[in-house]
Amino acid sequence: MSEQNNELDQSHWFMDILQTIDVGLVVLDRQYTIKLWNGFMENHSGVRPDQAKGQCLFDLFAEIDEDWFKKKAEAVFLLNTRAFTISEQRPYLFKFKNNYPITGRAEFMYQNATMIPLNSIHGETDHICLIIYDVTTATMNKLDQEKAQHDKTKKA
Amino acid sequence: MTTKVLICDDSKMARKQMARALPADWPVDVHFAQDGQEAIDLIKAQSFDVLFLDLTMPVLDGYATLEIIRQEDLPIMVLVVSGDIQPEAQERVKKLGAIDFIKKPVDAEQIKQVLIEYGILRDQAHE
Amino acid sequence: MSDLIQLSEDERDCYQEITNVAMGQAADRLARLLGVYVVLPIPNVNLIEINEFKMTLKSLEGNSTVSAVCQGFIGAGIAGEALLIFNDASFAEIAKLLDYPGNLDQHEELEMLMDVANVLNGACIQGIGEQLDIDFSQSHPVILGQHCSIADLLEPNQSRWQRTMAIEINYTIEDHNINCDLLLLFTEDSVVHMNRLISFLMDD
Repeated sequence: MSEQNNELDQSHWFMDILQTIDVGLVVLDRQYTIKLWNGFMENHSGVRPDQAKGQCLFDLFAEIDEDWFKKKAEAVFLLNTRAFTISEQRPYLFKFKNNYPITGRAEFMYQNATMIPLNSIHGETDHICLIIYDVTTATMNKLDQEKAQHDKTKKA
Repeated sequence: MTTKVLICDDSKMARKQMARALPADWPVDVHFAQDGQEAIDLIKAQSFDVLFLDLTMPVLDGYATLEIIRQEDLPIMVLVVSGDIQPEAQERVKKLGAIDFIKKPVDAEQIKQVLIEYGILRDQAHE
Repeated sequence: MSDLIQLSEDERDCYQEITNVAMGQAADRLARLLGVYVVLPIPNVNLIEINEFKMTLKSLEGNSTVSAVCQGFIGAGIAGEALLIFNDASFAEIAKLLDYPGNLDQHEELEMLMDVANVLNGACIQGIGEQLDIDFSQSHPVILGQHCSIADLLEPNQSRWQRTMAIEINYTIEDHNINCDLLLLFTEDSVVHMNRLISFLMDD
């Protein structure tokens, strides 16, 4: 009896954590329909889960390059392997505002993304999970360093 | 028997919220004051049964108001309603004669329980 | 010239009251953490231009240097930052209350700054969220500066905004020389959304 409760507690905790965690979590099916949309995504996009679920990702977010994204995602579906994108390739997937609208310098949120395969009970990859990381601070620091370097060499 | 109630808070929104949180079936005559001084003046002019008192107010704050009520032995039951919920604040108001402390944001059910507990409201369910 | 939003008296009163409740929760936690009594003022709510913002910050500086932590929050069309500005003179006092030993090095001061910021920022942001029924996402705290002047805090920024709604809360601790200012800063867009949300609180 207590073991069941324990498992229920754990499920409940996981749900809470996934909702509050400061990374974006999006689950997509083979047709790129949104199946899961966590708190981070809701708060940064202004799109609620009930509005996002059942919609095609590209219909809701025109800024995502459909061909480029599908190419990456297909590899995950077919090969059951993870894919990564970094902000140096593309500054962002989703155009979100900087988390620091008042004191921050960046115009938008720089993002890294990971796509992981999610398998059905039969073992096929029928869904993928897109994880969005905010890397604005690191990127701004890097850009600052590069600029400082550039200015230094210019003076020399 | 109508209970005469005075709600004292510098915020118009808070006064409204307090009024809305009073039990619907409670026969009351509700008045409002914007700060402690206004409340004291009203209490001295007409008698009130219950005072819902905020703490952070300009002119005369909640603590000073309680002091005056105590010093002048004004006959009124005081329930402090405040956002300042730190342990010492709650202690101080009880020492100054408030019968209880209600945390903001106010909840109708909580208000009802407090009123029943102090015999201000008859508990219809148990009659 | 765009249509600048204004705050009505009722709206200002509403924000003041919402902040009042949220900061009460924050002060409660700080009081428990330090075992003290926190003096709560009436919060100051204003729509200010960037220049006024810089002046507000300067006025908080006083004679001493400051340290500042800021944390972004976002949800339901509302975005902003909680900016906690600490008078450096306060560090020694807080250290005593938190039982930190003797002289503090920069690292220990940072720890303390973070401890207090977590309590105050978090409680305020969540407290406001609770009243508006919003579950805000909070970003990691950022140290804007340690032992610097206010001018240093803002200089590198080319501001992308013109106006902000600033809610200023000054926390002082009774019997101790501890002073800090929490500035809740909302983007102009956010104010439009918030005004809509609070309209139900103001309706009769």
